[in-house]
Amino acid sequence: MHSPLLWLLPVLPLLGFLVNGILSLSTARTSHGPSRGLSGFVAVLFPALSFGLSLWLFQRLSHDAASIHETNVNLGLHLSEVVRYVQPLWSWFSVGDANVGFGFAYDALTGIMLLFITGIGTLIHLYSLGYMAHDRGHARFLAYLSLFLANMIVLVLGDGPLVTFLGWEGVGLCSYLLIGFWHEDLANGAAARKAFLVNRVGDLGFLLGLFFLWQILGPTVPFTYQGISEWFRDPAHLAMVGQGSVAALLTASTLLLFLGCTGKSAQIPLLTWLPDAMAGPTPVSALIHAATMVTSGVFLLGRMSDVFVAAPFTMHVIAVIGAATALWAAVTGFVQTDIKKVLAYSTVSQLGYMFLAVGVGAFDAGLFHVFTHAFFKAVLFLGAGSVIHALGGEQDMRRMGGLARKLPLTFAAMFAGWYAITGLPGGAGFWSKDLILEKTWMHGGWALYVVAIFTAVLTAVYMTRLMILVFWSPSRVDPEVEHHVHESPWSMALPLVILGLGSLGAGFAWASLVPGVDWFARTLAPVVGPAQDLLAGPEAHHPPVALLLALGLMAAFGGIVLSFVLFRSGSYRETESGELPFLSRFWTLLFDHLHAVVAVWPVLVVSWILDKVLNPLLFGLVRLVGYLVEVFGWLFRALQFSRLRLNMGLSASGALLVLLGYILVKELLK
Amino acid sequence: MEISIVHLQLLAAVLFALGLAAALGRRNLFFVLMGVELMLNAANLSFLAWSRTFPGRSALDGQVAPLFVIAVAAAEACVGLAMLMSVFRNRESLDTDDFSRMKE
Repeated sequence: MHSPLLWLLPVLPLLGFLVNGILSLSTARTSHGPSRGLSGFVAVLFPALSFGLSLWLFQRLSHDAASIHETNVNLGLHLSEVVRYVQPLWSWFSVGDANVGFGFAYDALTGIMLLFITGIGTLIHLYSLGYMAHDRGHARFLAYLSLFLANMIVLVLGDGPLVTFLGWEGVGLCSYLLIGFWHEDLANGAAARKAFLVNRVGDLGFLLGLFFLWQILGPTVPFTYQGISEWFRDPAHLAMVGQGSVAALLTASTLLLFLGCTGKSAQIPLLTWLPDAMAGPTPVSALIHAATMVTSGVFLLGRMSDVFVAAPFTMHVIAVIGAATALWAAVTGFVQTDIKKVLAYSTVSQLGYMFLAVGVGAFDAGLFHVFTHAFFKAVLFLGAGSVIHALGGEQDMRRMGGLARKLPLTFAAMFAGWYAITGLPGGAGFWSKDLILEKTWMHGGWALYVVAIFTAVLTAVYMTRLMILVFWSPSRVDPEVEHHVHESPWSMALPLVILGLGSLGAGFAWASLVPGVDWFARTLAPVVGPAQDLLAGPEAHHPPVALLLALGLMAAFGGIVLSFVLFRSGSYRETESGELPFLSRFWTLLFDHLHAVVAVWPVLVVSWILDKVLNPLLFGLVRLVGYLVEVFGWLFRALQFSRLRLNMGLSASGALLVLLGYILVKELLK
Repeated sequence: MEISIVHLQLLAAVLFALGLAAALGRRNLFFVLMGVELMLNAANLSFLAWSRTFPGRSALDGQVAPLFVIAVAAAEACVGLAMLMSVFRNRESLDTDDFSRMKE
């Protein structure tokens, strides 16, 4: 179905970006900066309009899907037809026989992504008003944030992989700009550069993967998600890509696409940039590096689920990488002292869960975790931001404590986030994480399940540790700072409340234990259903739900109790001063060391060779040319007189002589 | 008396000789430049005169060449005069015998 309104979705935040960008530039030289009221109003208005539009679209989509479903039932068909609104805009480029159009497409997956991207995006714009109120560059900050939102919308709304790639690069740029927002500090610039460079590696994988996919499909298949999905859903094509060189090509293609996802979503091996990205302001960490951008890898896998299920080897790789990342990051979060670092590693770990789910073929469960994680991780980050704000910029948990009474609202919001992420009954994480564990049990084998459940225990441990250190333990706050501790303004409190409620309630979009409450799965079924059915086959056995549920709850409660035993006693004080112990430091920087060996050192060695060997050689050559000119100049200079007129006269005589000689020779030869 | 090709060539030769004499004999850079212009125009005249002796379209060659020469001469005069101005500003002199530093 055609829909003429889709283009408005990304353009509205883009307008916000333009207005705030112009405001920021035009007041760059004034002493007071742009008007806070105006830039703040613009920054919240446009994302909110975008949110309203996506709500309306989603409501329409649900309505259309329901009516189509009804028609099919009446006709006796068991089809889950994709309801899709498309808006082809223009022909982007055509090279040879490849014609690529620029357009938007809106289906259930895009709709769900857009709901929380624009919704949480609006809330975080609102939060930023309070958080950045005292910053001179707040209009610039809001402009970047709106630009990010526009790019993120393009990413999920694109009708083909190339439009998605455009947004993919755009969000990378905004991430770079926002990590390095406080660029007076060189360390922030370095973190921004690192994020950008590591992402480049992934982006190259994405692009190469697309080239391979193009190779498989050929120019006759339209290079849109719709075209690709329909091609791969054809059993004849599936048989074709299942064997021989095409299978190898498909495996290479999907592995490269997955490399792109590991870059954006901070999975092994390209995960080192995300913890460093915490150098950016906290609203950025919440929006970009927790709720939206880092989940775009999972989104892409869901979007191209039909392609990925055709490459079983890649699916295994995804599952193993996801589980390994989840475990590694959970252990790392356990030893951090910086509150934002704990949340960063927690994000990496939760993303690992999502990839694990996708890898075992439960695309909808993975995307459901994306959905719930967006709520509880956003509220955790915003709560951490509120704590940091209250303590005047302090991020070290060793100098916090006892804040539950001083910041009751922040505490309540973070408690909701903690309740959700640890997987306590009823919270958002309880539903989505349990679902992933269940699917892992069914399709992934016991080894992956053990890793996943162990990670769940660790998650409960490090999150409870964070809560103890920040809120429940005796105060270790500097008395000077403690005097000024204050609750945040309403613009920061309101998003906290809404997101806190969201992280308690979001799980009920797919409360798998309650019969009938599977709105999320039903909505997504037309998009990822065929791929999942292909992989899972007919449901042969039902999982032992009660047992898995009990194990999941035991993991959560066990982790919490363990954490209280470990940290309530105050043993954390031993590490109160100085660096992390050697082993923790090594574990934390494990992949940085790997990157150093694999990529950084070789580059350094090659550049050393270029500098010390090749460069002098080239310089020698250049100098040689110079010397040659000088030598010849010196030789020929001897032939010149320093008198202009004499030179001219001699030239004229010479010409005359040549002429005379010519005539003479001609006469003689006659 | 009819004006023949010989007359025209002689006129061109005289003009060329005058130009050469001016370029060689005058020490003022300005007149040297004028001498060069004169020599170029003598060559033009010679071209045109010869072109009358060729039949048909090949006569055009002799008429087109002067057009190029005029264009080059205009550019040369333009750049030459500009250089001359800046030389005068720097050295307060236009005497060609004063300029012998290129060899050093």
